[in-house]
Amino acid sequence: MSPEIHPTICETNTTAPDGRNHYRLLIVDDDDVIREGLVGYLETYHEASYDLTIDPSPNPADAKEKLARQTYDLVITDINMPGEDGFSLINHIGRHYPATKTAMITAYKVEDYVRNAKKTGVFNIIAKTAPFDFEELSTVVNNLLEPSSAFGIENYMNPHCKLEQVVITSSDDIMAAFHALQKFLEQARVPNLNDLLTAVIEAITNAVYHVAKLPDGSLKYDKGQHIERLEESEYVYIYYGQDLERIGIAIVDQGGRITADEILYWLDRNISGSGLMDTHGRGVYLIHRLVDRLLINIAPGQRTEIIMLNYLGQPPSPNKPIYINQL
Amino acid sequence: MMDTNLLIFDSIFDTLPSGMILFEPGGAILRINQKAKEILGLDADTQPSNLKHSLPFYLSPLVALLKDSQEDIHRAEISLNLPTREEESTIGFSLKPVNAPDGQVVKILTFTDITQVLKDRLAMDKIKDELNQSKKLASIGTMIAGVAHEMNNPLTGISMSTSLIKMNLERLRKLPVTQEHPKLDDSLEKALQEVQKIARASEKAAVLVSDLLAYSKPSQVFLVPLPLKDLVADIVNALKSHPNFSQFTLQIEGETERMVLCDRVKLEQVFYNLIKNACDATDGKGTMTIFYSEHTDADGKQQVVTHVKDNGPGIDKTIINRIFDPFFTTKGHSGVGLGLSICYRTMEQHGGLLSVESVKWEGTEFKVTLPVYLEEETGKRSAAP
Repeated sequence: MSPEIHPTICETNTTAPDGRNHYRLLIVDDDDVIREGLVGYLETYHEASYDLTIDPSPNPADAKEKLARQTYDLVITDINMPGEDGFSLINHIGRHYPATKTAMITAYKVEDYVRNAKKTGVFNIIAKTAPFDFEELSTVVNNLLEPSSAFGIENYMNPHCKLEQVVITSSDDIMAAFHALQKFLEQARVPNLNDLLTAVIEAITNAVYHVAKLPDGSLKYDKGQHIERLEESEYVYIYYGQDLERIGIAIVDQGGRITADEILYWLDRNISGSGLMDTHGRGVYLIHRLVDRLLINIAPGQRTEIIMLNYLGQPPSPNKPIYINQL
Repeated sequence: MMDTNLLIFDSIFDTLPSGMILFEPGGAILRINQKAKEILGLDADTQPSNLKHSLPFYLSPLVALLKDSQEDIHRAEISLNLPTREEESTIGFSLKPVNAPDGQVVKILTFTDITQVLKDRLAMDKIKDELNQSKKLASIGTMIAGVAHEMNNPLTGISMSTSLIKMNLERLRKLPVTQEHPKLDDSLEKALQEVQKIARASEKAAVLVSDLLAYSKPSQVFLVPLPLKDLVADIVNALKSHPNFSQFTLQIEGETERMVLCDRVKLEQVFYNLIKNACDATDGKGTMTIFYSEHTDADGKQQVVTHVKDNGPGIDKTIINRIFDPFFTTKGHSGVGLGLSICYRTMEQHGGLLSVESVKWEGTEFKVTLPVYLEEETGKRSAAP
């Protein structure tokens, strides 16, 4: 239903005898209950299309020994541990095992780690919360292992959920899309209608006005400028739908220009307060704050997906994770 | 020679910075200096003879005190309603009986008006209290943040294990029932119910922890200009359709065209808390009226006030000073006591103020005061993205 994306990298995995992919994970956490809980869940519940072997590790020193003996596809590490911390471990992995992917998990406030995450090049920080959403963990692990499968909002909704599509081909379409989404959100009876509409309009205008560029690289249109007709490659696609648990909205552009690094930069500027006077760059922070879950998928030069999920029942913990998936 | 001495004595007596009165042994006034007349509100040309044997009626508390005293009085205080002052004055005085050479006792009364001094001292004490309070809150905040973070780890562990037990029990439940263990299904059902209880308890604890974190480390406010009435109308309309507020009457009287610089999410939380508290206090059946007023503060800045008034049971005088303190709650086990203290701080972050007035058995009125955002300021700030 949406434009094709072409995976640009191959995952570094082996193939199991039954033809399924096989991945090896390392989970580092000094808290036994959490470590064993993560391992126990992921061993039993993960995508059926591949096989997982998961090794638990109680601290970065032990993790380094394991990494020296064995190639891992993904390491998920706690941040605060006695002695060496998670960032130091990830730096070590980046230097010695650049093909190994990394994510972090923390019981502390995720926002406090954005600056370090940017420095270290970690784009996914999982929040330890009670209740803990294991399904979300499974999705994030899947996105890290097979990044191209992260694209498409249908992956985050119930399989029977019907999704609507709106294509933006001119600036007039922005208002039309906004009204369609307003109607949709009103019918879904979301309690924070205005917040979501703010997030949506922010994401749509960013997608429309930041993707279209002139040959010299400068922006083709000023923000808010009337656009009679966008080029087909500048169209922005909006998908939305509702299942029993959540509403989902995806804003998809065909630019794929923003980078995970830039996103963390803008998040950090606004979290630390130094970006309060910025005239742009607040969008991603606003959206992160206003919606329950924000996932960003980037296929450089091809596509950016801003996926917003909002839960209809009990709102999840205010400690929000960061999920950025860049091919 | 005597005359010169008396003249010198008189001029010293009259230039003293304190009020001084000399009493004859019989109690009649022998001398009174200018300062004493000024403090007591007497005409400057009042002579001791005009006062005869007594001072004016408004000084009767002082007279009563002097009458029987044969001893020294050091630094006593007395409150008087002087005709020259609108409010009650506090006079600090001392009384010294002096033995005259003829064996008789003359009394010397020295006094000063300490009303202003006392006022300043009270103001100073208040500032000190506030400073101590904010220091105390800051250190409590640091402690809470540490405890809350440390609690989050084990709570996540409990929640994870609970989910895993539940998943495994549900898998067992899907197995076919066997003849040998007919009661297995019952036990499974019970185990699942118990696991559900653990899950609920840990979720409750998790909400507490996240409240504690929100209190101990307020996130950055994100200020944008917004029409105040729209924000208030939005939250009121959202709550009106909520089942918990179905019997609660929420009405907005009047309008304001004022814009305010605010963090919508946080300001909405303030109104939500105030409305929810009123709803709780009236068992969900009360009435709340919201209206606006404006005033100019001491620095000449315009302020817009949103009055949030309920007809609930009111807040007792003995606790009204504590309602913005963290962990102060009247809701027993159902509240942590952070709501209003978070609201209070949110308003401070907006450069505004949250205040309360309440009449027992009549109702409570919260005032949400915000600086008016003037259009001329637009150029100084970057517009919303």
